[in-house]
Amino acid sequence: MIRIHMVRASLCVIVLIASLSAASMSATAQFARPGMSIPVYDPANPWRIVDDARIFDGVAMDRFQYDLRRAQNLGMPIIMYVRRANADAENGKVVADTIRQQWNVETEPGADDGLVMVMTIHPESARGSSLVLSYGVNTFPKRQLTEAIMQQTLEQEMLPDLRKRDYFGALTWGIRRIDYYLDYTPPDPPLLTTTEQKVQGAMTFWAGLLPMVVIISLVVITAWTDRVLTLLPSSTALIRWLNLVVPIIAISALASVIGRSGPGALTSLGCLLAVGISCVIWSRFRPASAASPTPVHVRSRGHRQAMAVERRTGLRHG
Amino acid sequence: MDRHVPALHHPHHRLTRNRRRLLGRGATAQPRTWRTRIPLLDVLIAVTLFAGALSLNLSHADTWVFHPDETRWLNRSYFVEDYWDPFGSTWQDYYITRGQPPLGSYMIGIGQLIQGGDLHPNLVWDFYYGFDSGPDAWNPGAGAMPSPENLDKGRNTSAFVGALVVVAAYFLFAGLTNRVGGALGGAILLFHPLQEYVSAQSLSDNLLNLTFALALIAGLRLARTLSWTSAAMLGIFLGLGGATKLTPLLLTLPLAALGAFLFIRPRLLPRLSTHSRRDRMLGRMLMLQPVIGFCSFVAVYPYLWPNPIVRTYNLFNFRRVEMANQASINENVQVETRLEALGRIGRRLGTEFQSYSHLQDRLNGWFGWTLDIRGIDLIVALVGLGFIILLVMRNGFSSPAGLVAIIAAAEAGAIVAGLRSDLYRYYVPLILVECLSISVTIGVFWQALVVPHLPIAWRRFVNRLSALDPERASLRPTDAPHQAPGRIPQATGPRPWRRPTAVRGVGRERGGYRLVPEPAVEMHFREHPRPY
Repeated sequence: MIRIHMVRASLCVIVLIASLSAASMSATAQFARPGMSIPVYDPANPWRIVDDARIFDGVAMDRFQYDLRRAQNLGMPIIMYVRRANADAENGKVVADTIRQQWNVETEPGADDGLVMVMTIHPESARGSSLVLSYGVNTFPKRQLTEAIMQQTLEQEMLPDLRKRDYFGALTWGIRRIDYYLDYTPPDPPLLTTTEQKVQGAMTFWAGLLPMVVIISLVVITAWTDRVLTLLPSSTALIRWLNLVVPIIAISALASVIGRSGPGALTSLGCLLAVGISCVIWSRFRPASAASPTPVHVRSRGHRQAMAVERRTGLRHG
Repeated sequence: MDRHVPALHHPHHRLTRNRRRLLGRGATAQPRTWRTRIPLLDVLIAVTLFAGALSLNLSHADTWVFHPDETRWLNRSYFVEDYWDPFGSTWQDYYITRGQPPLGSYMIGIGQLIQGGDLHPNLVWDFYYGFDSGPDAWNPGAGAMPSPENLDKGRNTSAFVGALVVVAAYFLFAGLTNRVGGALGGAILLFHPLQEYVSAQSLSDNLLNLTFALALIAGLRLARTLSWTSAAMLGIFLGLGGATKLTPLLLTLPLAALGAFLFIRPRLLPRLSTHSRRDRMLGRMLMLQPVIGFCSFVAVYPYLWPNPIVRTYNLFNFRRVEMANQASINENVQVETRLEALGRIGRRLGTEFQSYSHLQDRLNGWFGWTLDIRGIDLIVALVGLGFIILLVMRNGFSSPAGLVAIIAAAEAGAIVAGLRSDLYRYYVPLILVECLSISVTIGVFWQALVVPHLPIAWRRFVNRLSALDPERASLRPTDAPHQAPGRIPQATGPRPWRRPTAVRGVGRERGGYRLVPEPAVEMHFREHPRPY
């Protein structure tokens, strides 16, 4: 009789202990393995850091929240999870992947561009602590932040602080480097379309010809107008030359901008500067106007004035 | 004619004599040459001011207080290298390209290259994590702090540009008044505490002042010569000023408005337009300033090339938001009303940054005095401003003084209108305007009160020094038939600018109304002919 009561009492104690253990375990654990407790996801919770290890005070938590919010606003959803467990880095990686999937750490459903950091503090040995990242296929690159740079930051800046038990420093390095790259590094230029590629190729080729066209056109127009081979044209020749080369340069510049051709744009700009400087030099050293009489258009003001003078005085003008 | 001044040295007399003696300007017209036309005395004064300014600025470079903004300019040194890749990632639309126009970064980058420095000396200083530059602060530890060598190189560049500002200021002041006004005005600028402050830090404020001074010189020359070269230079310098700090680009708008007014005034108000042809020509040149300025601004800023107008608008919008954020962060420097802005400017320039503070400190140290005189700068500048206003009223806005006054007033107005935070760097262009006004005061009083009492021998000596420039040295007595042999050759270069009095009748001999004695007003603008 006593033996039956003892067995019943033992069974009650076992059931009680088991129920207590079950109550203390976190829910939503799909992987029922030791050290794999996943925090409960609460969509209404604004905090981007979960400190189950209770190692950070309010000031540190506020600081992390500020930096994580900044990264979120710059286009990278990110969660930090700090736990105390006797688990290795691979275990931490699985936990990080699980959190990223279950908590929908991404900008929109299906984007797969979030980042989760899990820091596991080993209760006995600092060397046993780990810091792992979980990111999706579209997380990197963002601006100039590549996967390689992120890994480099992890290995060279975050893990050394973790080994020294500087947990605040370890996480701060990570999140602030991410903020820096997202805010202060440029995005890559958009890819060229097929048309733009063709225009780029053409303008890069034309960039080599444009200066020659400018110089040769000056010599040819001067020779044609003034009947002399010189680089110092008359005003007529200069105006004709400008009427020719300035539109050519403007069109070259426009096409270079469309095709994103650096050589084309810079050559156009250089030629425009050279034309401007040439005009200034010409204004200082221009030849005497008698060498080539300025053509007077029939309907120009000068012509009409000359006609008026001729009518009044009876003297022929010019 | 004023009898107190010997006839030989009285420019008004010189003009009168020229008018009587010469039948036309062709007799003494100088052939167009490419030789320098700046008198030797101007060169000597400019070199002296440059050397003084450079040595003073460099002496502060090692010891001046560090400001995190210096790291931002040093960080962008690589812009000068990436200009040759105008469609690369550097010029995409993001915070760094929108934050500041690139010309200051080019200046720092060129300085780094010349001195053998690094074009990537540090990362961006992140102001989210404070201004602390101590060893435990975030930014220095993260690589945002440049090495002392790179910081010194940036400061040396700023010191050099600051010395150039003083030289440009001299030519500007001397062009508007006389050499004495120019030299003393330049010296006042050289020793101005705010000028020392920004010249000892690796910032772009000196470049802004330099482009501003060059634009004023170009405006002065434009009003005198009415050449398209001067008009282009004015627009280019305003555009480059905009590529330094945005504000000077806006100065092209009031100039265009003035140009439109001058252009249509002969038709609307024919009785008030005595020089319609000149005014129309000047009006045309001024109306083109926004186009020239904007083209120059875009040419040096590859970020704008894909879409110049929209991206320029984004720049101004970004700057407006940044200044509002700046004001909201620190309430101590917040400026809410324009009246408060004027008060802050008066306090900064009248009490905190006084040009004679060094002299005052020295006197207190030598003699044990406790001088604490404030506001003399502003008083003298206001007197000079009064003279400038009188000149503008007399000669009109199309005169050299008028154009300079318009540009200076527009810049000052833009600063007052846009001031949201009371930061010392925003007042840098105002010290140029202040020194300009002071130099006018000095020049007028020198010419009116001192020159009439100078010994003749001293004035002959100065004239001889002024005569030692290549064009005048080539002028032999026989080349100018109207001059008697053995006399000191007269100036036959560009005539002093005077508003022609043929129609309006201004002048004592024509019975017109004159606000100041004739010699002072006539003489203080061109003691000796200027080559501009």
